[in-house]
Amino acid sequence: MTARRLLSALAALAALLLVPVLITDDYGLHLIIMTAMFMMLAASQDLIYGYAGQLHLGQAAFAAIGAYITAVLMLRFNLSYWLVMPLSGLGTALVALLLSVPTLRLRGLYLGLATLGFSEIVRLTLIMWNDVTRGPMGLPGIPAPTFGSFVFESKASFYYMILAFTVLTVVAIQRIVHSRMGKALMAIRDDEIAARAMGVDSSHYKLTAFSTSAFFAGIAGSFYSVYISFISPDSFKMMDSFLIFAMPALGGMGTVAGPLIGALVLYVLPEITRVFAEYRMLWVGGLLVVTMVLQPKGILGGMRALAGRLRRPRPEPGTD
Amino acid sequence: MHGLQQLAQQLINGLVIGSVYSLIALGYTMVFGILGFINFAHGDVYMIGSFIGLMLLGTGAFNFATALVGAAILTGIVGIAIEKVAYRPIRQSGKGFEDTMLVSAIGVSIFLETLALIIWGTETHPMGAVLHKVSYQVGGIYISSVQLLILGLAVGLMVVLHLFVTRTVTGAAMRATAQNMMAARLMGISVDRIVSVTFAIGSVLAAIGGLLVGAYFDAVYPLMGWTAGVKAFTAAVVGGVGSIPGAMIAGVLIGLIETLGSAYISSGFRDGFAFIILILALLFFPSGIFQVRRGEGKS
Amino acid sequence: MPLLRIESLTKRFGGLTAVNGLDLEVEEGQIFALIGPNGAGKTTVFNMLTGLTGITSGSAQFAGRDLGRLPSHRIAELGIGRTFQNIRLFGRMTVLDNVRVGFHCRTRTGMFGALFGTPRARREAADTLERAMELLDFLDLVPVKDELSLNLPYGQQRGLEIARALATNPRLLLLDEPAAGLNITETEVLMGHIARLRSGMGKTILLIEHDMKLVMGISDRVAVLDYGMKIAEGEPAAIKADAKVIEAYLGTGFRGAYAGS
Repeated sequence: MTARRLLSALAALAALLLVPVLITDDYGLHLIIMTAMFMMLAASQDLIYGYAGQLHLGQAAFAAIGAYITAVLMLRFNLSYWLVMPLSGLGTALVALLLSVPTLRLRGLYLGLATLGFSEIVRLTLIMWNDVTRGPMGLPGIPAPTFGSFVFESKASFYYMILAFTVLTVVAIQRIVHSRMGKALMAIRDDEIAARAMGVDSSHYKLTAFSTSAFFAGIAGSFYSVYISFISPDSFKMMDSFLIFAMPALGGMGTVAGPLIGALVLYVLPEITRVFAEYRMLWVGGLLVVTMVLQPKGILGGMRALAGRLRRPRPEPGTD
Repeated sequence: MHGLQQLAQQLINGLVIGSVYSLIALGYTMVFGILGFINFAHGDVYMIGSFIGLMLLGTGAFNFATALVGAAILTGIVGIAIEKVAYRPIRQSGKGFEDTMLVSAIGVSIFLETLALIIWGTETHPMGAVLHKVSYQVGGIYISSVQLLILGLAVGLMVVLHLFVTRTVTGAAMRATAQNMMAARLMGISVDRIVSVTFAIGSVLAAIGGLLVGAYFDAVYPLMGWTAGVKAFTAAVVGGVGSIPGAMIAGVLIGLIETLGSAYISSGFRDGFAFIILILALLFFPSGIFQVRRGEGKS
Repeated sequence: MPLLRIESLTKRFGGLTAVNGLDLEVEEGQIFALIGPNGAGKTTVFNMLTGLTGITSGSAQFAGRDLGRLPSHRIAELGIGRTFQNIRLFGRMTVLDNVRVGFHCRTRTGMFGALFGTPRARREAADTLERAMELLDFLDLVPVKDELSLNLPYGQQRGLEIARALATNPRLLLLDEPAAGLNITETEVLMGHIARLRSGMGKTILLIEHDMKLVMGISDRVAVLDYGMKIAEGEPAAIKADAKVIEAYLGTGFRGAYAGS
């Protein structure tokens, strides 16, 4: 990492750490916290679709599983959040693993429909498994995480928590993506048959990608649980899956910043411009179409194309 | 005797709802046949068609027949517009990744559903008594005039479609384009026009189906495109995506299985039957599912 | 023992018999060509050998191992690499990365190594990079190593497919029409590469080709397929003169055109 890169990274980090100092209004902080959570979800979505090419339309359901595991473990067994949180991630990963085994032979739309179906199954299970989940009534009063004598109550404390989670998620995913495993995933995305012919065990990697992606989604859901202190089957709906799906697509799939930009645009912008929940999805649907038509590489791809064109001198007329 | 009567009754019910699934399935299968692309938003077009019909009826200036025609025309236009705006530019630019059109279709679907939710809310709208319902009895089996209308109209439309595709010049152009788009273009066929026609036909059929279903169940709601869409899509898959006769037969089949299952096994699980068929079809018809691309070269 | 032994290999697709009772043996270090008209079943043979399609009956044995029920990635691990008739590169990945994927089955870094940057992971990555660059150099692709493979001109794409297949370190390399679409110069360069693969790297090569100059110029042995059956096998000169082959495939004009070569 060059010195300049390191410096800008440190500057960014410093800025991020100072946010609760600069923004003290509760609603503003809440927005930022939720945006960061969606950034986590968007990054995990990008791993499974942007890099591995598996059309997954049910990420919200995995967040819900993580949220419920956390809620139930903390309410019933009074365990420490720092034990519960990784367990939630692992539990979600396990469920994802089981669900993805039958889908190994599916691709494209067929796989997408299967993931939609599974997310519906999850939602129905959460509604009907009354003993554990209290069904539609949800689980209120989820205790706040503690660290020694420190209780995570203030918005600022939750901000730092989600900041850490999100940074770790993005870094982890980037490291995976730049590794041998990442190349295997992208090969599967581009041509699964050729990948297999080159020695890549595509089934193994698809399962791994699904569970890893679900792991991070589960952690995000786990955070939501203790942040909002209340969880119900409605907390993560199918439309949320579509929203999460759209974020990397809009921002630029297969990039670091793409999912993050997508989360900003699709979550924060509507909130700031006071566009209510229902109108947001109108915005999301429309932008998806516009993006695919104009610049399938998303906002980031568009910016890079623009930068490339500005940097390259125009060819003389008659040449090229 | 009673058991047999029940069975016959359910068979009729199944045929009726199945014929509507066929109508919708045709939209999926025809577009796939030509573009190799499954229009994720087709179910929502069906829903929009139903709402347009509802609105036309609401003005009081239309009776059912004219509302049907009006909704069909307007929805056909919607279908053409969607193709022009959301799919054609992607098809023509050639840039983008494998799923670009699919993602765009997802965007269209989200947009249409949200639009419907905003305009008409989440509740179910009754269509009202727009059809003069007469119940006929044949040997102890009841069949209503509405059912006869649906069956007659659906079958009639499918016959017309079959004749259109096999006997007209445009139909031949459609078949040619479906087999080999490049060659069709080289033969002077305006592929863009054929694609528009295909979308128009699919949307018209879906709208008619939507209006008929709305009247039959006396219910129109924004999420109806989702359930019917999945079932019709299942029919298209089971019948073999791209096969028009396949979609026709499979739609009826699914209607029958769903109705019989609902009557004899569990009525609450009604929607689940189609879903199970879909899962089974996806898992056990691998060659049909994987060959989404059509024909590679051989050596 | 031959490196590759094919016995009564048959493939039926429903009513169509694409490959009918093929018997073939390829010795280690040979360059063996499979020729025949289009639709003769040649690529189907490759697909059966690499697990892309199932074997209906008969067997294929590689270094004594039966290939019958093995999945593609295991076959690659065993040492069979291939290129495709219709180029199947990883379009959205760079040239360098395409080759690096080829090293997959020869390396081991998993998620743990990826996440924590263990010394072994880093060593493996550096090693892979170095060897990938060597392969790119062999195929004159270093100048374009960071280009997206879908942006490459056709000839270079073909070269990249070979580089990628070589990365899997195969003992047997299956080349499916490697000269298709190449001009005369490019074909000569290709012939040089294939010869060096055998002499310099010790690879055994089974190749499908229509370009007769290439086939006759470089092969040790040729087998001719027609309608899924082997109708002739032997040294290039003998095949050229074989009446059956000429009738089925080469055409009577052939003898005249290549009389001098």
